[in-house]
Amino acid sequence: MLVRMYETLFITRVDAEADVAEKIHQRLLRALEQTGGVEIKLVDWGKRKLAYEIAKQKKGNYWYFGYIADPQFIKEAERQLRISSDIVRYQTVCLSKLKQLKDFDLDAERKRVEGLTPEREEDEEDQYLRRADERRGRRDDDEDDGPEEEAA
Amino acid sequence: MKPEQPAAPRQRRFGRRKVCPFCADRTLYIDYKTPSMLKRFISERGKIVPRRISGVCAQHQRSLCLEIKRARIMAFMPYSSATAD
Repeated sequence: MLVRMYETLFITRVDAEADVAEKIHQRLLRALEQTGGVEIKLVDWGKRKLAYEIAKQKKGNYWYFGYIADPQFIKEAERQLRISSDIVRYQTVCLSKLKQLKDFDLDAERKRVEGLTPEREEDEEDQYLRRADERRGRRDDDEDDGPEEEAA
Repeated sequence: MKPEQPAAPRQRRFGRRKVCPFCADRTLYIDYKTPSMLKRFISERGKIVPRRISGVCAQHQRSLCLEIKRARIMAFMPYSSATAD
């Protein structure tokens, strides 16, 4: 059977329940198994700022799902992604030509996928947290310095 | 009245031909998942910069264009921004 490598990126609402991605992952895996595909990995890319509002949301949780599957699987996968109202956006991109499943180097692909996560740009929330951390850090330093100076 | 002077020959504005950054550095990979790299090729308004400005070669401009559009779908990049960021 000839298969292709794909990646699907999907965005879930930040106010959705914590296990929403886990649920959709399970459903995708079941469908993948039925069509004779193999999962590479599901990677959590975390909460990120959206460049524009989607479904009145300014932020979204990004998930990367890499897999090797029969082209027929994509139809089913996208149907599954459409069902859930907690998924606000998804996109599937084809990454390879049609090949035999054994021609893929699964371990190498898993490693590659792990290194893909793009760095996050700092937003207001991050800046606030960082400043709070710095302030706390400075206060801790002051406390540390105090007794040392006295001892000296 | 003195007749007008003929127009001076147009000066050449650029002395150097721009080199496509993706041809110069083969390790640079155009990918919608790295918006920080793609941002160099959009204007403040969020529009794709034409290659006569950026100097990208035709082949790479084509893939750049596709990847920017993919990045827009996933909200990594704006379709347009009314005010400059």
